[in-house]
Amino acid sequence: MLALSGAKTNNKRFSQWMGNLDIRVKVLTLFFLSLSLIFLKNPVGLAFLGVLSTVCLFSLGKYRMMMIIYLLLIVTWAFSQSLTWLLALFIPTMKEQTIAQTLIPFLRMWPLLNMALTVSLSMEIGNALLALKKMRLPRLIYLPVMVALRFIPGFINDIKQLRDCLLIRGIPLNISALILHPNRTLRLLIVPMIIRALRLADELAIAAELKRVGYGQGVMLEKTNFRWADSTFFVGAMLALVVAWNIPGSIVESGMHSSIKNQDQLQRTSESGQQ
Amino acid sequence: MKKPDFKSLLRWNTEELVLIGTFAALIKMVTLTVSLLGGGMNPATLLLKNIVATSMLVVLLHKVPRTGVLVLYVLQQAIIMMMLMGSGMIILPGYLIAAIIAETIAFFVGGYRNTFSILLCIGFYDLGSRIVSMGMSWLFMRENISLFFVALGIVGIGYIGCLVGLGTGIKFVKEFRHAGFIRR
Amino acid sequence: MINLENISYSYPFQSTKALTNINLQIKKGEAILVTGRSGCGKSTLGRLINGLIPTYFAGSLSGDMHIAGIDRKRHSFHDLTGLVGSLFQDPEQQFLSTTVDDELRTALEWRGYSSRQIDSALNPIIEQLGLQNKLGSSLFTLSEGEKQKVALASILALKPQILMLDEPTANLDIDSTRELLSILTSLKQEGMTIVIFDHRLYWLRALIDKFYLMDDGTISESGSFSDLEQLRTKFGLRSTQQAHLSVPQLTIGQMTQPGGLYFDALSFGYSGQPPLFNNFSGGLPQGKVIAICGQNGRGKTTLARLSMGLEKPISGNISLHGAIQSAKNRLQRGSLVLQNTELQLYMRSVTEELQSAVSEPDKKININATLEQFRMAGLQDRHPQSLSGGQRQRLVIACALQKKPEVLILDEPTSGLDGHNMEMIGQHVRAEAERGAAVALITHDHELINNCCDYVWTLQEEV
Repeated sequence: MLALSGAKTNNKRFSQWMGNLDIRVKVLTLFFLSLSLIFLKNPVGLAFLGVLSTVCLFSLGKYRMMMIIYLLLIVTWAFSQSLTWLLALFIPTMKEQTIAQTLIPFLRMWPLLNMALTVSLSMEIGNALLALKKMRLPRLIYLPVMVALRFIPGFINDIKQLRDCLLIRGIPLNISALILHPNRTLRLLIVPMIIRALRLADELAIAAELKRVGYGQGVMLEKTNFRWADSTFFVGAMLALVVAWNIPGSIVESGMHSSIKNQDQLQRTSESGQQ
Repeated sequence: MKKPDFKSLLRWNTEELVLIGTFAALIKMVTLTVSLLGGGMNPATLLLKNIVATSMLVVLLHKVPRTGVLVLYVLQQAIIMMMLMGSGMIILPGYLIAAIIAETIAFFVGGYRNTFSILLCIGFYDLGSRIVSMGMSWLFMRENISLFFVALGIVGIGYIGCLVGLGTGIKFVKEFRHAGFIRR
Repeated sequence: MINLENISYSYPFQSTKALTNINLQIKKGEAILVTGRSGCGKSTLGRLINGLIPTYFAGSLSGDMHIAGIDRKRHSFHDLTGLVGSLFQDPEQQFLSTTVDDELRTALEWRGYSSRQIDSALNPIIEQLGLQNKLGSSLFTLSEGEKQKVALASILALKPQILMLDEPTANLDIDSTRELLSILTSLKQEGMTIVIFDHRLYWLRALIDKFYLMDDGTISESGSFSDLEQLRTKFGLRSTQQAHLSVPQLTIGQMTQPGGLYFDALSFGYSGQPPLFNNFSGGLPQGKVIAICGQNGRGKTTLARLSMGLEKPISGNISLHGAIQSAKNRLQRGSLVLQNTELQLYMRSVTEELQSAVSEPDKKININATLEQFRMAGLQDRHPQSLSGGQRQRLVIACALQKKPEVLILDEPTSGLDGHNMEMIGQHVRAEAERGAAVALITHDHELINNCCDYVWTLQEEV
């Protein structure tokens, strides 16, 4: 993840408009999107959102990564479809499951994945910290989150360094080591990192105390208004959600419901048969 | 039993808050690394990821043994996820409820001064949060039952990892006591 | 400005006193050096002055203490944070942001300053420290010297009356050290009280008015800088004179002898960054100790990582004793000690740690003798991570030697080590070279280089 790799290696320029949007707008959009996706059942509406969000992700220019992720989605769908067929051999009601039904969860994940990736890939730790300050959160929440964001780039480096240091010592850290020496490998994975975290926490708490972060009247920041681009994006996104909800399409019954209904039907037919 | 002092629930010193934040980041990063290196959704990776996360949580609760720590941790982690990956907001209320119930149980079993209640608290939270995630998966996958079963399997293996993690966590806590990092 | 009377202190959960009966008077505008062996109580004294003791580190404290005119018994820690500014040894530890501009503003923002007030407080300091061009930079891309300036600027913005510096030159090259000295000199002229805790002494000659030498938690000697020279051997101090390099440069002829590690037409660069090495050749001859020097960011550590196979060159070969070796082979036959000691110790006890470092696992080593050699006797059962920074550093080096490496590279092995320990590391390094290893030290420390290196290899800027 670009955002997670931190400022250190992050030299590539983000696509201008997605990267420049206020992070709060992006997060809020994502929130409304995921809320809608839970309840939206219409495949046409879902597909509509999928296409729009693909445009957002596409604008970041990470084509290879997109391809891999879409391929993974398709593979998972194929896997779930074959699983359905397999289950149908043992559970008769599974036969009722239509392709449209197996497809819908993926149609739901598609826009969500697109937007989540867009948010995370167009994010820089520095901007997140700034946004955090602007949100005027209480010290109880601000301080730990600030610490966490500040240290994520460092942690990534530490994990890499730990792997290198273990290699120098001749201790490999891979799946076969985990199977052959589970206890030792687990310890090596966990103990140095926790100790590093404990020390970092100690140093950082001291730094925060000395800077008096989180005390007093707190940060006085000039009110930052959303810019034109932010508002436009947000309004556009909300409009898209309204359209997705109202677009004509088909209704696909949820799997559980249909199977329950099918069971009812089965019962009724068997009952009528008995009669 | 001591009466819960609700005012003190809001009074935290910098050291405690920083520890919670650091661990929230650490656990996120290490589990993410394990998933990436382990190649995503295979049972070994799932198991390992959850063992690591739960052991680290056991250490955190021994390091900051006071009511409210789990709730704060869950909140921090959700905010980090939200800011970095843009996800996790919808599920947060469910996780918070699981954490609050877990902390309440721990409080009535004897509070964080004893290791058993810490383990019970984490064990319950892991279970509760998994039930919440299953509910969420159902909402997302309700049309496709087989996929839901897959999710159920993933969560089940994950929970086994958590239970193992409780045990390994205690082992690490002992070691950190020897090293002087945990002073109780 | 600082007045300590009969101060004694012990950390929580510890029976021995960290400070005993400390008496100290520092006047306004004085520059003071506090020095002494590793573990003598310097850092504890620092924590006392900046107020972390007893607010952050509890423990038992007795005696009277007035700092910047306030009685510590009557005032809280937060009254003190604006009056005493502390610069840590590793400035990165005190950063709470990711960009220079944001870092400089943070402390002021939390004190409720408006944006305009912040600008007017910061601008003169930014100018004084020459940070104008760095404001938009990420903190992670700065050199050590620049990081330190940013940390210093963010402290000075709070207008402290006392400035405390903990081993400020441990990670600095000679030029940055000189620059720091000139900044401190002008701050002193402006009336700032300066307290420096350091092992390295030579750079302070012109700055300090008085030194305090600590030993075992007490102040055992004090006086003017010139008195330090006589105390050197007794207290294991570093040199008081600036060490001029007395070691010759490594020549091409020495680099191309048959034994040792050689780079042949090596090219390497991190992705998205300009190449660090372009058709680069050179090497580390067998049986010699080479000091690898060069400016920060030149690629000294990268060269070490390439040597050990932790980075893969884009093109070129690396050979050992005349034969091209794979990365895996080089890793097996070499040892590299990196700076971050926490990530290089893994076991539950010092004994286990040393035993695990032996290449043939069945071979038992004499733990006691090894620990004796590294001045760590009696620490067999301690958890490696519970050791002090200096002890950890020595243990990591001891572990690296257990492998009997054919190539040994140490990255800044003496940052934070006192004179005694520096000499000891020097002896071990020499012994490794005499055993037949090709040894390299990545260091800025001229004293160490003169002490144990045969040649200096200065990496020039890539053109």
